[in-house]
Amino acid sequence: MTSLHWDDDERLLEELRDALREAPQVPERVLSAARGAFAWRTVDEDLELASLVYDSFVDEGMLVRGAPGEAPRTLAFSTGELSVEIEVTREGIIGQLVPPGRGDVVLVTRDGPVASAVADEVGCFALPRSGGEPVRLRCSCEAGRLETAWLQL
Amino acid sequence: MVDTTAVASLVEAASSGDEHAWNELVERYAPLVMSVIRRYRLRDKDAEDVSQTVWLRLVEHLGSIREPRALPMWIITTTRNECLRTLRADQHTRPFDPIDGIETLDLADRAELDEDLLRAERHQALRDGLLELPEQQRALLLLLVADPPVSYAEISRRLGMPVGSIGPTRARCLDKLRATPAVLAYLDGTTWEDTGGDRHDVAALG
Repeated sequence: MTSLHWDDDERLLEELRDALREAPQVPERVLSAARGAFAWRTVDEDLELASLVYDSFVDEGMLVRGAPGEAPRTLAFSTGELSVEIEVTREGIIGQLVPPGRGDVVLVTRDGPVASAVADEVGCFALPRSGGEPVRLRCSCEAGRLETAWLQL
Repeated sequence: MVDTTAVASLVEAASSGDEHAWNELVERYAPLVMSVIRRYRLRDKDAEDVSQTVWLRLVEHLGSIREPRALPMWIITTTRNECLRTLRADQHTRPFDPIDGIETLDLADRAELDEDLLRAERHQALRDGLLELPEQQRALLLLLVADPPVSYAEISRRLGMPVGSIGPTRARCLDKLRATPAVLAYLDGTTWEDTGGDRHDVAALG
């Protein structure tokens, strides 16, 4: 471990010099978007955050060689009690609320809601997909209300 | 007043709604996010989307951070995962371009990436430590590592400090730096543990 050499004044200074030199300048546009993210702090107490518990892009052989584009990407978000599972294809998003049941699902970008869908009696819904920007789903059904973690599709 | 030098108090303040504290966190860690993204050579638009996703994730994660000192590692891990997802998604939408993306990385490249991320964490700890030092000590260290180098005579003039005391003061400042919460936390190795949140695939790079 390189840090073991930090007890040596010269080497510590040297690494400090590298640390300062390597910190990239961040464009103001990126900084300002990052500051703006704070506005998305959830203040709605009823809306539970569903964290990403499964992503086929990551959990299934991220680095395995093979023909990409074969299987659609599948993701699962969960609050513990309520989950939403989605499959992302080029055409759009197909999803299901778990436990299955009727509900409303809204696709949200940083600009606000952009699409909505009604989940049928088995919890299935379909939404269009957006570009690479971060999105999240907001779901409400009998079992409760949730908001998924942000993610890029 | 929020103690803006300690990550822990910034995280606590931000999670209870202090926007100023949030902005401080952004100032401090935006370069870290960018330095990780840069290693994956994403296109500008993708890089900005990844950055934004990481910050949105952090906003929602603020309340559940158990060990604020591990925040740099959480940021590195989350950023890296989003970069990998982006590269992967890219392959799915452009399946006829097998040359592009992460799967072309051979083992040596991956080892190098890992090494890069570890260095990013190490360097962030030093930059954080520097911010945690009193103004005078920070100023001296900044002059000592300035590029191009600044002579002791010039440092003496700028800081109103006798040339003869620069050497001993330098040693004291470095000791202080080693004793800052950020550097201690890093040396403790706490940053590899308990980062909380998005680390279920921490072994993805094997």
